[in-house]
Formats: sequence, structure tokens, C-alpha cells
Amino acid sequence: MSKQPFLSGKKGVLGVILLIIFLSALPIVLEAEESYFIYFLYISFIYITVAQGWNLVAGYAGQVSLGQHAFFGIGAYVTAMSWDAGLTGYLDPVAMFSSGAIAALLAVIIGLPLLGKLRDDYFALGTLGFAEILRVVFIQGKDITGGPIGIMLPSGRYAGMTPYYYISLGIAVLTLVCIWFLIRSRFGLGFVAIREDEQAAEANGIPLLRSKILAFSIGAFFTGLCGSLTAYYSFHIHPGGVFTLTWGLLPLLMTILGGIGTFWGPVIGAVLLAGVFELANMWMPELHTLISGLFIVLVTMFMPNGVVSLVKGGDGPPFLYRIGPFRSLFGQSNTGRVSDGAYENGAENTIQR
Amino acid sequence: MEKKLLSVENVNVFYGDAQAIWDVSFHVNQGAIVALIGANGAGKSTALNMISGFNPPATGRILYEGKSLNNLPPEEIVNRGISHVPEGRRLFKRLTVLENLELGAFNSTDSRKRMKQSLEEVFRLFPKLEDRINQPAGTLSGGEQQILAIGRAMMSQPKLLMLDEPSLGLAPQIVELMFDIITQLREKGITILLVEQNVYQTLRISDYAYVLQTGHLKMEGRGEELLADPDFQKTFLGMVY
Repeated sequence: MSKQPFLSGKKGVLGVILLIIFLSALPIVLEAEESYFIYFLYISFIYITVAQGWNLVAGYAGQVSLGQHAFFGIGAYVTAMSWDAGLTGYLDPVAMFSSGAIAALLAVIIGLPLLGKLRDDYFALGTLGFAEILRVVFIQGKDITGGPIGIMLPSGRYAGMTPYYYISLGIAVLTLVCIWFLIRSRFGLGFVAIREDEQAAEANGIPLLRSKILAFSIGAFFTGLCGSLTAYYSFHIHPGGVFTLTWGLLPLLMTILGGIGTFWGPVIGAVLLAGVFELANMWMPELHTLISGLFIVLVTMFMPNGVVSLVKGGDGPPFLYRIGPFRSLFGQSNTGRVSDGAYENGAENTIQR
Repeated sequence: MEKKLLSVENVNVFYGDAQAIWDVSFHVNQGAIVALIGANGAGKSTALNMISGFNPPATGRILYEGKSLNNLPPEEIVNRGISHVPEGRRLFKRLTVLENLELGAFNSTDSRKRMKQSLEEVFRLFPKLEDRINQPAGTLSGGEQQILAIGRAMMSQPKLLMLDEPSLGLAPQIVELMFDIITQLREKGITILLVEQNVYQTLRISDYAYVLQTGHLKMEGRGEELLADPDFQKTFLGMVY
């Protein structure tokens, strides 16, 4: 099976491991509790996870979900409610895992009718509608969900920024590793086949509904994990905060900006957009949305395949690939989509997984 | 008597409210090339889609190796050994040749285990594909794409291969090649159900043919019988006496 040309091979793996070690050491070097940069990375890791979760469903399996905030919210509420009820504790791994698992279960339940009966735009609208319904349910949930005010958690337990940083880093790495292997497995190939041509995929014996639900629920699992961590971070969960459409649209924006259907696209998009948001917010808060919006418009205009196309083009040899010394970076040693031959033979539309 | 691999009995097929196939029966013997021919809209492709489970019949039975296929999902039908090369090839154009072939063996653990062997077999049949494994399928020529589509279908090691207009849109020379390939596949022991508009060539290579007209079975017979039939000649070969 073909491999990702960018950051693959031994050099790529080594680079990624070094990066993880570097990121792990950061809170020791920087003053974690004081540093804004540590917070920035924390929020970036969450964005990366949510974006990669959406990328799996939409970018690889071709099922555009506009309802990821449902899973984010459910993750947050499962954590908050179980802690509130005394079933789990603070930063409890069991609570976090259950939050992800229940979000995934919800994705299976809702995926059966939505993915089974609806396609394309209608599926997107279906997920959007589902998430909005869920928000209203939680607003109307009276004592069970805390209604519109939500659930207050004992904020006295706040243990400082460091654990949040490591947990979010761990979740992001876990997500990326899982999805990296998943898209290289036969399931990943099945997802892409469904995205490319549903009927042909079915004719080849790919179980459509099962594959789509698999992608949908794995994306939901990781999104739920992020919701759970956010509940621990904010100590106050309310429907307007966690079921907000923002959590449905941000991953979409970040993934498309970075490069949809590519592995590194969502990562690059998430960090970049988080950076733009934070910088714009810091320096000129009154113009924040304007600047962020302008940035998004410019990127989509000039890099329709996402920022990731700067290093590997969707429609030809990657930009840097043309410059000799950079070639080895892109691991052409593999079965190599980025083999010279493919381009010479006029591959207009090579895609990278 | 020859063994029936597939038999379709009195099926009626609908697209929503519109009936596309009316009370049609036909069968395919083991090891034969059987053709479904007829004009556009006769229901040929519908018949193939019905067998592969995309659009199951409202009434009637489909029996394969003596067992009913009626309510099985498409992936299960592939597992049973029926492979469908859809009209217009339906390749995954942005995926490589190799990935397209791998997807052909997606259906079961069995096919995946035999993947290497199946690949070797496909490359033996179609050596050209091996030179292009890393090329996106969309960059192949029309003939090569059709060959790839057949190769992909062969990856599940089917007993019955259903080909929907394999000669569509190909240069005359390549059309010849396509019919050669079909004959070769039969020699390898694969049973073939062929849908074609290229009536003359099709009848030349097929053992038996059914003629469909607007969803009804009009005629049937061995290839040479049909070719010699004045009625048939008038309707389908445009011969006028």
C-alpha cells in the first residue's frame, strides 16, 4: 500500500519522536503556570485532535459531518455529570475514556439512520440538526443536565496547567498515531474508496454503512475525549459552551485550511489557525475576527489544497520537492506516490493519504 | 446436462415506481459465456445490478449455486464469488493501480489472504498493469482502464464475472483485445455474464444469449442461431432483405 510521502520513512519517524520529546520537555523549560505559550499549545493539541477526527470522517471517508460539537458536548457532559454524581474523580482516566466511548456509541446510534439513509449535503444537514437537537435537550434537561446554566464543578481542585498540557499532548499523539495506522490499513483504503466512488466501492464488496460508521465513531471518540478534558479545564459546563456550533465548524475550517484528506493537513491547519486566533486576540482584540477571517480567505484563495500543499502539492510535485536537497525529506523511498514517474506520466490528480 | 451456476427466475425489478424488468428468466451455465443483449434501456445493466444486490428484484428468485441471493447485501454477494465490472469501469481514478487492485480483494479475509497470489495472477494476465502499479488509475488509457477494472474484479477470485459493456468507448483494435481477454478468462474456468451493445462480436464469442427489449425477454438462443435468425438480423444487426 502506498505511504505518505511527507514525514515518512526512518527520518520522518525520528523527526516526529524528537518533536514529541521536545514538546514533553517544554513545560520544564518554560514556566508552565505562567507561560501563555503552554496554554497555546494545550489548545492547539485539542484543535489538532478535533480536526483530525473530522478529517477522518470527511477527508478520508467523504462524509461531511457538521455535528462534531454533539460529540464534544457529550464528552464534556459525561465527564461533568459523572464527577458531579461522585462516580468519577478529577482528571479521571476512566471518566475520560467513558466520555469518548459514549460519544462513539452515540455516533453509532445516530450514524445508523443518518449514514444509512442520507448522503452528501443531506447527511451534513442531518448531523447539524442532530447536534442542535442535542443542545436543546441539554438546555431543557432540568436537574439532570443543569439546564441552561449547566454544571459547576469543584474548581478548587485545579492542579495547574502542567497536567492539562501533558494530557492534551497525550490525546493528540494517541489520535494521530491511531489515525496514521488506520488510514494505512485496509479500512483506510476502504474509506478513501467510499469517498472516491461509493457505488464502485460497494461493487468491490466494501460494506458501506459499517465503514462509514467506523470512521464516524472513531472521530467521535477522539472529539469526546477533548470535550472531557475541556470539562476538567473550565470547571463549568453549559450547553451554550460545549454544544456550540463553533466546535462543529472549527475542525472543518482547520482541516480545509491545512489540507483536507491529508494526514498533516489538520495538524498544520489547527496550529496555524490557533496561532492566528491567539495572536490577533492578543495584539488587536477589537480586530480579531476580521484578521482571522482575512487570513482564512487568503489561504483558501491562494492555496485551495491547503497549506500542506506548500510542502507536497495536490496537483504535482511538492513545491519544496523540486528543490533538490529537500527531496529526501519526503521519503520517496516508499512505493512512492511522489515518484518522478507518476508526474512525468501526467498525474494531474494524485492524492496523498 | 450442464450445471447451472446462476439462474434468474421470473424477476420483476423496479426503480421506484417505474418497472424496468418484467418477468424475466434466464440462466448461466458453469463455465459458459452468456450474453445479455439489447438496445439502450432494455434492462441489461439493471439485470446485472439486480444480481449484485444494488437493486434487488421485487418478485422472483435469483439462485446462485442453488442458494437464493435475493436479500443479500452487495458485499455478501461478492463473497459468494460474483464479481461485477460496472458500466463505465468506475475505477477509483485518483488512487493508484495497485490500490485499485487491493480494493478488489477487499471483500473477505479469504481474498485478502490470497491477495499476493491474486495479484500475480492478474499481472500474468495483464502484464501491462504491473508496470503501472504506482500510477493513478485515471492516467491510464481507456483500454488499460477497462483492463484494470477487469483485473480489480478478478482480485476477489470470482466464479462468475459480470461485465457491463466492456467495449464501451474503446478503439476498434482495443475492442478486439477485450473480446480476446473475455475468451481467455473463460478458458481459465471463469463463468462470464456479458452485457454488450456490440452485438456481432458478442454473439461470436458467447455460448448462449438472451435478447432483452424494454425490460422483456424477447429471444434467446445460441450465438450462431441468433445471428442466423432473420428477425434478429432485422432488429439488431440492421440487415434488411
